[in-house]
Parts: sequence; C-alpha cells; structure tokens
Amino acid sequence: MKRFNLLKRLFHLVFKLKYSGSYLGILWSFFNPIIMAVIFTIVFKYILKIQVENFPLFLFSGIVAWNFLSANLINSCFTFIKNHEIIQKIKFDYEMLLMAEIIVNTIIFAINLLILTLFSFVSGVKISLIIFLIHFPLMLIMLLLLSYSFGLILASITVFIRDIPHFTEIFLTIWLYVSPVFYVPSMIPDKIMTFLIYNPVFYPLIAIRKIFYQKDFAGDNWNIFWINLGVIIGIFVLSIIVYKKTEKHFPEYV
Amino acid sequence: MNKIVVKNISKSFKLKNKRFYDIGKETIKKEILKDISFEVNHGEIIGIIGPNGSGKTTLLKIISNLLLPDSGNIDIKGKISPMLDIGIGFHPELTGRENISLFCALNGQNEPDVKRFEQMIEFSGLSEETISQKFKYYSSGMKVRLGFSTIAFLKPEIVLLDEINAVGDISFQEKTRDKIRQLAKNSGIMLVVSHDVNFVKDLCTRAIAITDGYVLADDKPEIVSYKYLNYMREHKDEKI
Repeated sequence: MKRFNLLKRLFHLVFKLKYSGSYLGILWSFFNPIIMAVIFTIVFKYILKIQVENFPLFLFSGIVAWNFLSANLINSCFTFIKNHEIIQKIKFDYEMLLMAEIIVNTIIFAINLLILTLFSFVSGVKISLIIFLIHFPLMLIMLLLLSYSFGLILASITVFIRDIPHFTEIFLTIWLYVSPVFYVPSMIPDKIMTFLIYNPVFYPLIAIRKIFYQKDFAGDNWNIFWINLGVIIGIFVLSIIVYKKTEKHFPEYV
Repeated sequence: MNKIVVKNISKSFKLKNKRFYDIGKETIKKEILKDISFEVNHGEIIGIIGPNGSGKTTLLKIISNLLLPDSGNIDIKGKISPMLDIGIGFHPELTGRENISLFCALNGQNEPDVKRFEQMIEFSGLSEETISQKFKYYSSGMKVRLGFSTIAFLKPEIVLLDEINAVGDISFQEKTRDKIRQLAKNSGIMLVVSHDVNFVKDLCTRAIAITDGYVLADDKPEIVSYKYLNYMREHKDEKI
C-alpha cells in the first residue's frame, strides 16, 4: 500500500516533468504516430514502392513497438541523474522511479496502439480476437520486462559513468537494424537467423505484426518466443544484481 | 531509547573525474573526515560547529546513511529523519503541496489526509497562494518553513538539521528557534549543524567542534565554543 502510494506520487512527478511548460501536453503523443502513419502511406504507396504487401502498415506496426522500447531505454538512462534532488537527500526504492517512467511511456504506447488499430482498420485488416488475446499480453509483458531490466542496468551505470546515454544511442541504432523492423523475417538468410533469434525484441515484433498486420513472415515461432523469454529473464537477473550492488552509492555520485 | 554511536569514521571524495586520457594517472582525492568518533544518547541536542569545508554536512549525510564512510562504523537506534537543509529533497518543478505528498511517499508514509495537510500548512505559515506555487520559486526562508513542517509530521526520533537557522529575517529566525525547540522536545535526539556559536550555546545540551577532519572538542557548548573560537583566531588566514 505504501509502495503503491510511492509509485503513484512518482508517476505524478514523471508525468508532470515530461509535459511541464508544454501547451499541448499529452496531445503530442497523438500527433506523432498520426503524422508518421500519413508519411509512411505517402512515401511507400506512391514514391518508394516496396514489394511487401501493405508495407506502410507493416513498417508502422514495427516502429510502434520499437519506439516504445527505445524510448524506455533512452529515458531510463536519465531517470536517476535527472532526479538527483530527491536521491541525494532521501533514501527510498530508487527503482520505483524507473517503474514510473516506464508506466508513463506505456500510456504513450497505448495511444500509439490505438492509432495502429485505426490504421489497420483503414487498411482493411480484420483484427482477430483470438490472436489478440494470445499474443498481445505476451508481447506487452516481454516489452515491459525487457525495458525494465535493461533500463535498470543503464540507469544504474549512468550514475557512475555518464557516457552510457551516448553509448545507448549508438547501441539502439545497431539494435534497430538487427531487428525485423524495416525488413520481413523471411528475407533473413538462415545462417544469420540462427543468431538473430537471440535478439529479445524479435518475438514482440513478430507478435505485433500477427495482431495488427495479420501476417508475420516467420512461420511457426514459439521457439523464438521461448528463446527471447530466456534472454529477457537473464537480463532481468543481471539487472537485479547490478542494481543491488550500485544502489547504495547513488546519493554520492548522482 | 535512541542512541547514535559513531566510531572512527573517515571519508574522502574524488576531486576530479577521469577522462580516457587520464587513465593511469593517480586519482586526486580529498580527505574530508579523517577520524571522527562520538556517542549521542537519548535526550541530547548536539550542536556541530566547524569552519566551512570541515565536513559537518558530510558527517550528517553519513549518519543519515546517504553516504558510506570509507572506514569506521556507525550504530543507530531509532527512526532517523531525512536531513533537513534548504533543499531537503523537494523537487523544484513541483508545487509545495505536491512536494509534501511526494516527500511523505518517499519516506514510506501514506498520503496525509486533508486535516493533516491543513495542520502542516498552518504550521509552516505559508499562504494558500505560496503552497500552490512551484518549489523553485520559493525563497530560502519559505523552503525551510515547508521543510520544517513536513519533517515534524514524520515524527522522527532522530532529527538532523543542517544550517537552517542561517536563512530568513530576524523574526523568522526567532520563529525557527522556537520550532527547533518544539521539534527537539518531541524527538529523542537532535543534531544541529551551525556556524552560529550563540545559537548552539542557546539551544544545545552539548557541542562538538570539527576542524580539519578531526574532533577538536566535545563538551558543554560554552567550553566547546570557547575552544573553537580560539582555534579560529589562530587559523583565520588559512585557505580552505
């Protein structure tokens, strides 16, 4: 109950900081995906014709999932150092700050998913309830757990090494290209595929396409799900170790 | 019964961050606390005095478990309050009211109810208009007032105050003095960092002077302040 109260107050803080001084506030989270969807449609329907069925929707669904993850990771780098005023003075469960940050991003993700649903509706895709019920919770849980674990590692190390945000930016660029966001999984040669299935964002990207695009180009993919889940749990365990080891030094270095 | 035992504490800080071209060079460190030991018993109000940069705040931070000492150990019995100084741990972007809620939550309390809220705001002497303003627009005096009332609400057994009597006008200083007394009466132990020797003589039951990382004197406030003023007279030209 007290932990919930803390999370509520921290959520309020993070939310307020995100939109403080902005006129449109959370409305920005609607404009962004709408404009992106419009641009994709114009570019890939009329200018760059790609040989993938309904490519704008394919790309948009991938980008929505990717942006959620990358926003979480970039924000988490700054979560602790940005709130040094309170960390320097009060002992509390610092990881709750990261949770609050991820919850705020999840709200924005939900808005993006709403636009995505509209987009697939406009594109003539009928979303199947069964596929949604199976894959959506799994995708969401995996993205959240991955964001939290990886984010906690980044946030904790950034307190001591301020190069981490710069590193994360480059790392995310590389990661984006080894994830099936721009290309379909069936294009990947088998040799490379044996490595790519360890990419923990692989299944979530397949799942979001299954739901909102009705095609995933990956065939039977439950083995990818289990491998991804294993990798994510590994990162989670590592993040707990890193956090427990570093947390007591935060007030001095933050 | 609350008690603080501080034993052979030392603490140093890195002065410069290393860059990649500094690898192999020695890290420049400054020893702030060299060897500090003392004990505080229930019912005592301790004044900690010392020149700028002598490590008074560092000592309070170590006692409140925010900083880890390089060596030595600390034993504390009692619920310790967050260290009260001008910043206190309020967020500059939140209003006074929001900060009270956040502060209580951060210290493991539930949201104060409306009645409590009103009592706290009443106690702080801040107007409704001020309390709805962002904390960053507060004057130092307002910040301390708000800090005081929230700390008092937490009902701590051990209170740590850092240099809070230095701000505000004369009438405000009078008021804080009364409030500090009130807070001291309601709690078990109070540690007050101050430059103001008269303030310490007036309020405290015992004083500790810290100079150059060591305990210079630990005795009745009159004796300690006499020794401290003598020390300061001898060292007045020293740079920190």
